[in-house]
Amino acid sequence: MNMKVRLTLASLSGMLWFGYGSPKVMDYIQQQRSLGVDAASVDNVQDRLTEDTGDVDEELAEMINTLSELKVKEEERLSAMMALVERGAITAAQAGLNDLPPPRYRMDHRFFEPLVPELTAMVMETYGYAVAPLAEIAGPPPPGERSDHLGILLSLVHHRLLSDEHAAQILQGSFDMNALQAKRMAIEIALRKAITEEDNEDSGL
Amino acid sequence: MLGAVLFLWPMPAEISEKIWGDRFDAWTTLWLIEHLGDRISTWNWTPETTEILYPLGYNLWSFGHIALQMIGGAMVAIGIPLVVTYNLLLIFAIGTSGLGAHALGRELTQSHLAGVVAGVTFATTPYLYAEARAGCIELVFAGLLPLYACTLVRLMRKPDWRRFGWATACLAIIGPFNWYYTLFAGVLALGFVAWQLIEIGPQFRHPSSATRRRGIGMLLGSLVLAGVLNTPLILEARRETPSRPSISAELFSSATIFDEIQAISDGSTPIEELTEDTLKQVDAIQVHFNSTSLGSLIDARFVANPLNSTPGRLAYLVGLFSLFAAGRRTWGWLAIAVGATVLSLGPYLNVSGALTLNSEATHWPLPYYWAHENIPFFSKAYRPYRLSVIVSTSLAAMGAIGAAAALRSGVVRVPAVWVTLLVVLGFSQPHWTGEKPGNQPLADARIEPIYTVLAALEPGAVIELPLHYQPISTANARSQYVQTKHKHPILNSNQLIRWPDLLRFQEFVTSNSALHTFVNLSRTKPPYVVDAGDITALGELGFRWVVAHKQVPADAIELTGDMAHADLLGPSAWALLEQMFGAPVLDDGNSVVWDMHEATGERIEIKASIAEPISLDLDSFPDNLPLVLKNGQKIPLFEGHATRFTAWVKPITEASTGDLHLRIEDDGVVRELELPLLSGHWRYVSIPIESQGNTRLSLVGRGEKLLHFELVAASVIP
Repeated sequence: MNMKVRLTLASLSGMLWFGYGSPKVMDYIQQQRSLGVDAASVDNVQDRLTEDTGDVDEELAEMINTLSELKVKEEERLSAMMALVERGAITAAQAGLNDLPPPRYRMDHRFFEPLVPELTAMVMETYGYAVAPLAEIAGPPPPGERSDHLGILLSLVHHRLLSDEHAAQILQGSFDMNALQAKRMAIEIALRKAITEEDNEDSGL
Repeated sequence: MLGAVLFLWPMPAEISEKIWGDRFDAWTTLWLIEHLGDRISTWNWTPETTEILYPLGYNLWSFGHIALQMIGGAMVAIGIPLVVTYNLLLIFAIGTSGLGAHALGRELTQSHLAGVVAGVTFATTPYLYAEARAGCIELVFAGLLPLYACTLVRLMRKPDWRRFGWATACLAIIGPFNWYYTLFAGVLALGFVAWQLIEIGPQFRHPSSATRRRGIGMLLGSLVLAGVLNTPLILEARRETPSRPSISAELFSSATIFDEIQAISDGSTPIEELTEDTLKQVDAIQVHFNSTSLGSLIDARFVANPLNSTPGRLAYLVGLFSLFAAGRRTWGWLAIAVGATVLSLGPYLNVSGALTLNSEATHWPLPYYWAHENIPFFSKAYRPYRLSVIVSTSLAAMGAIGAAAALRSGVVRVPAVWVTLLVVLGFSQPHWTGEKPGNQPLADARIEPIYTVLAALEPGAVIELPLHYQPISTANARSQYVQTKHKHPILNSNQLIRWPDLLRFQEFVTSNSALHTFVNLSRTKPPYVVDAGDITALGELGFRWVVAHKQVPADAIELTGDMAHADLLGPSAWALLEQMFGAPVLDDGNSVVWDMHEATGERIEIKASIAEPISLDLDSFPDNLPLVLKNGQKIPLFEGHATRFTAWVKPITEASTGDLHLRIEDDGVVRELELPLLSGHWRYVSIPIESQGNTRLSLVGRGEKLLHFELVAASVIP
């Protein structure tokens, strides 16, 4: 192999790795990291308790009920925010999803939907701090992932497709969602602690 | 050196006023340089000082490596300003790192251009840059490592006593500059010997291998001799890390242990609860936190955080090109690079850089674990990511060999242009690639004028509030730095990361109710109880001045997030200090100094918080997300009876006093008062309401632009 071929191969390998391989692997690692977390959330703890043939601790059951209620309330807040948006605006927002800036606020993603603080910040940065009551809406949001809905809301704000009044309502909704998640975090941490202690007792530690 | 200037730009443009530096090492190093300058001027060589950690004292050997700082001390002693000295040392460290690697490359190839490739590859790694940003100048001064590799190559090629002497001297001199690098040089040398032995293979006893056999023997001899020469210093420098506790998978994977250690590391665990065992756990877990993650290696971006740093994409690309260009001539260096990379991963594979390891990872200990637990002294290298400097050395050597091969092939036309391009590309990396850390703000190293006034006051030791037992905030680190201006001894120390020193500090402060109350005063709620006799006792020990701050530098840097909250004293703390010491002797609006001789001499007791906290919609956001106000927009704060409003406020965008107002509505009268704002700083706000009835308080934006700001500890005093 002559030097020209060697240098060409080196260039191609470098470009292939840093242009394609490395970003792909990093995406995969980040994805696994977000999936691999093991919070004592309502989903995995409920499964464990139903597998347990013994009596369910009343306090734990109460915590799990509260977690379920909080999760439903979060969904309802998202429904209320999405109800403000007309179909046409959603289509425009979806078209502008690629223009969104990368997330800036790091939160504990075991408990917090990472796009909520992004939404809060973006509403305030675009429309300033103005809040207005957000109507109660029972029931889940339209079909789709929660992150998709929040992405649409972010895009609406980023492209200034909301009226000042709707922006103020969405800011209120994002505050509410985050407060609900903060409550959920407190309960989940307590739940995890309780379960860890229970496991330790079972193992005789 | 011009490359180093470009690399560290814009620091050279503001060389006398600003530094690259985080909350810990840079300020501590500044203090040490100044202190050594004083020692040189007064020819005082006692190892103990009571300038910090007064009256307990601190042993300067605990800093471990002080040779570079001693050079800085000499520069200060001849009149070069402290901050200029520090910054010049940093430029010098990057420049000499390049020169050291150039010498290695030149020795390997007899080509200056190839030497330049090695120099650029080594000196422009994210690792060196990140250490420069963190203020670890002794780690940036890494040129001795490739220079040592150069002496090994020379010794192996022609083993004579002169070359033996150079190799020994080079290794022996690394120690006083940096003990880590002494160990790493040893690892590099052993890797080099292993490579030679493998290459000789069964021919070891053959007469044709005589030169190599002699080279290997002399190399090992030089290792031993350098070790012997360093022995007296090693015994003293061991104070830096007196003993390293064992590491375990359980320690690195337990969320409970992590939470406990985190609480100690951020100084929020009550000081009386610290024990030798828990502090050793804190030491042990550093091994995990300081290990390179697989993600960082794969990403290899140009970053500002040393813990995520690697040799970087440029060095890897240079290595790759050389591997293709020079083939098996690079294999030996490649093997050393791969070995050191594996060691830099630490005791267990951390794929994503998670703070706690998952259970799968803990089943498979890596070679570092074995080395840490079994090889004497290896545990001193308890920050595995730093082993990447060996990788950089090897990649630089490969770079020179590859460049020489390419240049000699005649394929590369006008080689000087290509090498110049590489130089520009390498040294300009902080400004265009990765996190572009060169675009981030520098730290202001100017010392507040009140310390000049404090210097002129009568002798007496100083206590800066709040006291912290861990290096958690910029303000805490600066309390040691500003000692270089006022020159009074201080109780505060940024050096309590060594557990024996911390336990001495713990015993001292917990024996006095005033000092015990001062520890973490910002984050500790009442009751506060200070016995009259304890204040008197402090005076008898030589303490005189107490300093507290109404303006605190913001702290939002990459390493561990914003910890300035730990320095923000609340209304109950201010009330305590006023009750203890009466009127301050100095108050410039930003800082306050009390004289202990003016203490009321009575027992002080604040049973409960004097203020009611105000809750905000953003309180539930753990990451301090800023509030944003347009001109005329307002945030309702409080409605009820209040005599005073207090808070800490920090503008995030450029702002000045007048951009944010406190709106007070009572009895149909509306008033607006300006809040003092200073960009890059937290400011304490304490505004009397002067109203008898029901009052409504809100914040109103009055700036022309959107105002981004943070508000913490907002409260009213009923």
